[in-house]
Amino acid sequence: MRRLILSALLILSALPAGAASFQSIVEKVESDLGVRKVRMPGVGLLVNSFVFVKRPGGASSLNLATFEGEMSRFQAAVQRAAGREWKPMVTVRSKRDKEDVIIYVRADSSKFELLIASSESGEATLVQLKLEGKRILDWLRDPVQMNGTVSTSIQ
Amino acid sequence: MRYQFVLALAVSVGALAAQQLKFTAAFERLSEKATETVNVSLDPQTLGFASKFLSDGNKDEAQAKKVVSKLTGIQVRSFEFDKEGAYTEADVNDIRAQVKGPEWSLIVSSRSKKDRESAEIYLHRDGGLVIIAAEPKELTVVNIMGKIDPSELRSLGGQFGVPKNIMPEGATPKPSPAKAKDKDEDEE
Repeated sequence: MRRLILSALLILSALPAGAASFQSIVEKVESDLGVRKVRMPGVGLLVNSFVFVKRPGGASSLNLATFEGEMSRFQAAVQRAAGREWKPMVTVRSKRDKEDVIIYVRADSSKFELLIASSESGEATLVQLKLEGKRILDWLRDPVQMNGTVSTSIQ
Repeated sequence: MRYQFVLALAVSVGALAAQQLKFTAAFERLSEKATETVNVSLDPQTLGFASKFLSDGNKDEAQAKKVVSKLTGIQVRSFEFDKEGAYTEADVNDIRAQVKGPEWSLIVSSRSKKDRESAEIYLHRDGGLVIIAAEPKELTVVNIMGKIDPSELRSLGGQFGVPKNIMPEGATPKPSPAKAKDKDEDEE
């Protein structure tokens, strides 16, 4: 029993303090905005099979959540939910397309992850990508184009 | 040993701050008039981690790693407007005022009267860079911090928010010891 508790403590201590998982970010956004993410049974499996084969934008894994409803406060809600460990890397605000996109980055010695929050009137998407090492540079070089590639692939 | 570390840290933080542009609230408010705004912000930590993931064994990655490892930060503000006159010379002067000191040199200044485009590149004596690219309906400011060799400028075009073809054909960037002599290259 003592070993079990010790192992659990070790695992917990290995996690970065306050590390926000994708699920917890989604739940906080839901609670903040009073909405529920759109349930799409089987889509998670489909998306991850696609990611496994195609690696869109160099992603080795991908989490996706979509929301519907009033989304004017979505970006602020994501920023609050993600916390300080996710740093905004790119912000695109398009009045022409009526769309806002914020790409956050979280990096440590073992992984490089992106959180992409896209919102337009009545609809929003949250995507978390874990990147393959060699594709990180593509995102740093042209994040807007890379985001377009991923969005098109997911659609 | 500890003092040496603190001193080295203070020097590097100081160098970074010296190369870093401060975007004023008035400048940031251009986004209210813009039809499209793109902000890019990469800090030393993110760039440092990114370079760790690039392999020395692969030629392309090794070359990219060499460039990235010299960068300590990147900031980009890019505004696209639906009509001319949405931004003024005063908005651009907010940026120019920050690169007026003796530590900055205007290494490229290119203007096209035909297309009404202009590009200015300022180089910090420690290697940082500021690019101001202006068109009647578009304004882009790029601030790259770190140690950039002027000869690498052309290869940065289209990457890290640096506009493509930022270096006019035939232009050779040379840091001038004297302050910013404007060498207009009018295309008439």
